[in-house]
Amino acid sequence: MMNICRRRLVRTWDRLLSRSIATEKKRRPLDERSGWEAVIGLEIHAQIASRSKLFSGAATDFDCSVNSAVSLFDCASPGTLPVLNRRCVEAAVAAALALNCRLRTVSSFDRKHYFYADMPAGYQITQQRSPIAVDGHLDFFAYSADEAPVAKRLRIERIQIEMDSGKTVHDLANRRSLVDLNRAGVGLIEIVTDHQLHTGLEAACFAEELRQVLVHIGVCGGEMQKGQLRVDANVSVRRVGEALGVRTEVKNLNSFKFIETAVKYEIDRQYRLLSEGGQVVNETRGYDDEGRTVSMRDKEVRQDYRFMPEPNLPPLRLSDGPSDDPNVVSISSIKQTLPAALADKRRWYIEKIGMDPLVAIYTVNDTARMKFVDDCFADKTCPPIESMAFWLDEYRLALRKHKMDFSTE
Amino acid sequence: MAKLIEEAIERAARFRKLNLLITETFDLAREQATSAAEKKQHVFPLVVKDCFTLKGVRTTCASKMLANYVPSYTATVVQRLIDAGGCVVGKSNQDEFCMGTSSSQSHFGPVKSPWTLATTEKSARLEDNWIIPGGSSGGSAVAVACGVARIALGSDTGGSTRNPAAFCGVVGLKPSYGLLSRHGLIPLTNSLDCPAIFARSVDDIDFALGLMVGRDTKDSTTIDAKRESVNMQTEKPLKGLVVGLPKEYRTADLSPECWDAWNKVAGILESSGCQLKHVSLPHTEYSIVCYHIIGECDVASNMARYDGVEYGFCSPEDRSTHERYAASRSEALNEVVRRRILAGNYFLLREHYDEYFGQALRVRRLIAEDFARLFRPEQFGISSTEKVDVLLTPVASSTAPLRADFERDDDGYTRERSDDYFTQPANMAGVPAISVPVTTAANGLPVAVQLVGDWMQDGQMLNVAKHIESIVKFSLPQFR
Repeated sequence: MMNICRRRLVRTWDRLLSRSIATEKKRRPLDERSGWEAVIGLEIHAQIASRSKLFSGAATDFDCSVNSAVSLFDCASPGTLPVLNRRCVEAAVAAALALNCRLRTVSSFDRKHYFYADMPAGYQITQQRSPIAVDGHLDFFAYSADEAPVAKRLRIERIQIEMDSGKTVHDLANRRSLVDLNRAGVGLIEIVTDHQLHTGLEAACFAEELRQVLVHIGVCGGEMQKGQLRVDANVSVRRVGEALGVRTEVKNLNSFKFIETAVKYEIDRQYRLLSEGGQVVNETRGYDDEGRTVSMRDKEVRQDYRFMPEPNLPPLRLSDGPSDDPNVVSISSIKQTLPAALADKRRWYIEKIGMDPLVAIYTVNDTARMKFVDDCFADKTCPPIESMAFWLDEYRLALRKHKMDFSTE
Repeated sequence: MAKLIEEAIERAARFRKLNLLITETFDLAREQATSAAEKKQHVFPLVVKDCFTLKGVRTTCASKMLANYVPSYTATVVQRLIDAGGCVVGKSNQDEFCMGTSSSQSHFGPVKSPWTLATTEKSARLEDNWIIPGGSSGGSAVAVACGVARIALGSDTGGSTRNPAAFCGVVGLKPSYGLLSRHGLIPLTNSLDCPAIFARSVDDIDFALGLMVGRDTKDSTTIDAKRESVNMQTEKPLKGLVVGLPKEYRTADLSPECWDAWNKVAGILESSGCQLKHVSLPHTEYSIVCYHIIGECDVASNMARYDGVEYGFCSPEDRSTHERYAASRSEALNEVVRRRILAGNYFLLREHYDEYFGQALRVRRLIAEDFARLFRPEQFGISSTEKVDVLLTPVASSTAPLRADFERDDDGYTRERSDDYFTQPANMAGVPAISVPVTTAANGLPVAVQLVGDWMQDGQMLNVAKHIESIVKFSLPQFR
C-alpha cells in the first residue's frame, strides 16, 4: 500500500519539479567515481517588496506603462541625490535574520561603474566593501524523482542592498534599443552563496528553498517569471582534490527548470572541454529555450567596475537592541516580527508527526496545503499518519477534478 | 519695492559686456517681485550660479552638454531664497562644471571683471585683456560687485567662491559642509561641494545664510545645526578670542600686497583685544594633491551620467551605443572636464585604488585633524589653553591677474594649484571659511583676507569678519 502511495506521490512530485528531470539520465555526469566534481555558487537578486524604490519615492509598480514610474533621481537628473528607503533596510535585516547571518551594525554604500543604457547614472549604488550582513547559512533538501530527500546546508557569504537597473529591449531589426526605466532604482537584496553546490538539482532545490523563505517573511514577491527573483550561477569543474577550475557565470536564470538544466548543461560542457584537453574561458553566459548555455559576446572583456564609496549616503547604522531614535532600524525589533521558520515546521512534521520527508517538503511548499494538513491534525477524526500520504494525494486529485484547490474551504 | 528689481535688471543689461549671465530671467524676477509684494515680503535681487537647478529655466553648468537642459525642479537653497523674497535676475556664468579658477572655461564665453575698468594696469582692456574675476563662480561675484544682485549664490569646492570674492572685492562665504542642502546643486565633488554666498556686506551674508539653513530630507548629508552657532551674534565681544596664524600659509609666491593685508588685519584684531597665535597646519602641503585625486575620482563618477540618452547633448553618431556615448561626451565636454574624467578613472582602477584614492582619503583625515587639533585640542589630549577660535590667512597669492598673464601658464594646472592653495584645505576639512575684502593694492585691484572657523561654528567666524569689515571700511567703486 505504502509503495503505491509513494509512487503516486513521487510521480506528482516529478511533474511539479521539472519535465526535464523525467528525461534526465539516472547517473549524474560527474561524481566521485569519475574523479571530477562540479563546483557551483549562486548569486540571487531578490526585488524588495516595498511600495517605493530604494533611493527615490517613485512607485515599484510593475504593471504600469513604460517609463511612468521614474523619478528625477531614477533617470539620473543632474543635482538629484539618493535618499535611503527605510522599508528596504528592514527587509534586508529580516532576510539576514531568516538566513542566519551576522548583521553588521555599520555598513556602507559604493558606486559600481559601467556604461549601459538602462543604468542612467553610469553607476549602480551597491554595497561592495561593507555589506549589511555576512556569514549565514540555509538548510534545504535536495530531492528528485530518483532519490530520497537529502538534507544539506549551504553557507551564505554575504547579503547586500543594491539598486536594480532598468530594462532594455533590443530591436535589432530597426537597429535600436528601447529602454524602460520603471525598474531602475527598485531595491534589491543580493544574496551570495559559498560555492558548495555540486549539481544543477542542488542549485534548483536551494533556490526554491530560498525563494520560499523570502516570500514567507514578506520580503520578496518571489514571482520569478516577473523577474522578482533572479539567479546567477557560477559554475566550474575540477578534478577532486585540485584547485578550483576557471568558472563561468550563467546569468538571469528565471525558473527552477532553467536553473537545473542550464547548470547541468554548463557542467557537461566544461567537463567535455577539459577532458578533451581544452580550456574553459572565464566569461558570462546566457541560455536558450532548451537550457543550453551560450556565450554572451559583449562581456568578453574583463570589467573593472572602479568601485568608489557613495559620498552622498552616510554609513548605515543599525541598532542591536530597541532604539529611541525613530530614524534607527532595530535588529531586535525586526526579529520579533518574523514569522516562525518554514524549516522548523517541516522538521516538526518529520520528527514529531513522523511524516515522510518528501511529503513534508511537498506540504510546506504550499501554504494552502499546509493549512489543510494542520487543520486535519487538529481534528480527532484524522486518519493515521501512515496513510496520510495516500489520502492527501487522493484528496488532491479529487479537488483537481472539481477544479478546486486546497485554499477553497 | 519693485524698483529695486528694476534697477537690478537695468544694471544686468548695462553690464552685458562683462558676460556675467548665461541666462537672463528678467520677467521671472518681476513675477517673483509681484508675488513677494503680495505676501508683504521685502524683495532682494538674486543671481544664481548656473550649476543650481531652477525649474523651467535652462541650467547649463556653462557646458555644451547641458546647453539646452531645462530642469523640472528647483534646488532647495534657491527655493528657500525665492520663498523669502529673492527675485532671480539671471543664471550666472562660470567655469564649465565648476572646474577652474578664472570663469573663462565656459561654453558661453569668459566672464570679465568690472575691475578691468578701475585698475591702473595699463594693458588692461575689456576686449581682449580683461582682469580675471576668479572662478569658478565668477559670474556671481561680478553680479554682486556691479549691483546686479544683493545676494548671489555660488558653489565652493576648493575655493570657487572665496577666490572670485577676493578678486572682485566682495564678501564670499563657504559655510560648514552639511549646513546647506546640495539637492539641486549639480555636483563637482560631492564630499567637498558647498552652496556658497556672495554679498557686499557680512550682514547680508548672514541674512542669506539664515534663510537657507535647515536639514533637507532630500540631501542625506545635511544636518540641523544650532542656530546660535551658525548665525552671527555681534553682542559677543571679540576680547580674548584666539586668532591663529598658520605658518604654512606664508608661501614663497605670496605677493607683498597680500602679505601686507594679512599683517594689517592681524594688527587690527590684536588692537581689538584678540590674542594672536602662531600655529601650524603641518599637512597643508599635501592638501592640494589629495584634493585633486579625490576631485578627479568624483568627477569621473559624477560625469558618467552625461551620455545624451535621458537629457543633454546627443551626437548623431549611430554606429553603436558606445560610439554614440563617446562622441557625445567628447564633443560636448571641454578639455578640462575630459582630462579630469580620464585621471579619475585611472585612480579608481582596482590596481590603483588604494595607492591613490585610498591614500588621498587617509591623508585627508590628517588634514581635517590639523584643523580639529587647533579648534578642539581637548579631543586630542592637548590642553584647552592651546585652543584657537578662528584662523586668519590670505585668500590668494596675488591680486586678480590679467588674462594674458593667466593664460601664459602652459598646462593650466600650475596657476590653478597656486590659486587653490589657500582655500581648498577648508573644503577638505569641511570647515567654514570666508573671504573679506580689505583694501586695494597699488594696481587698484582689491586684496582680501580669509577667516577659517571650526565646523558648525560659522557664527563666531562671521562675528570676526564683521568686525574686520567695520574697521577697514572697504568700498567698491561705482562701476560703469
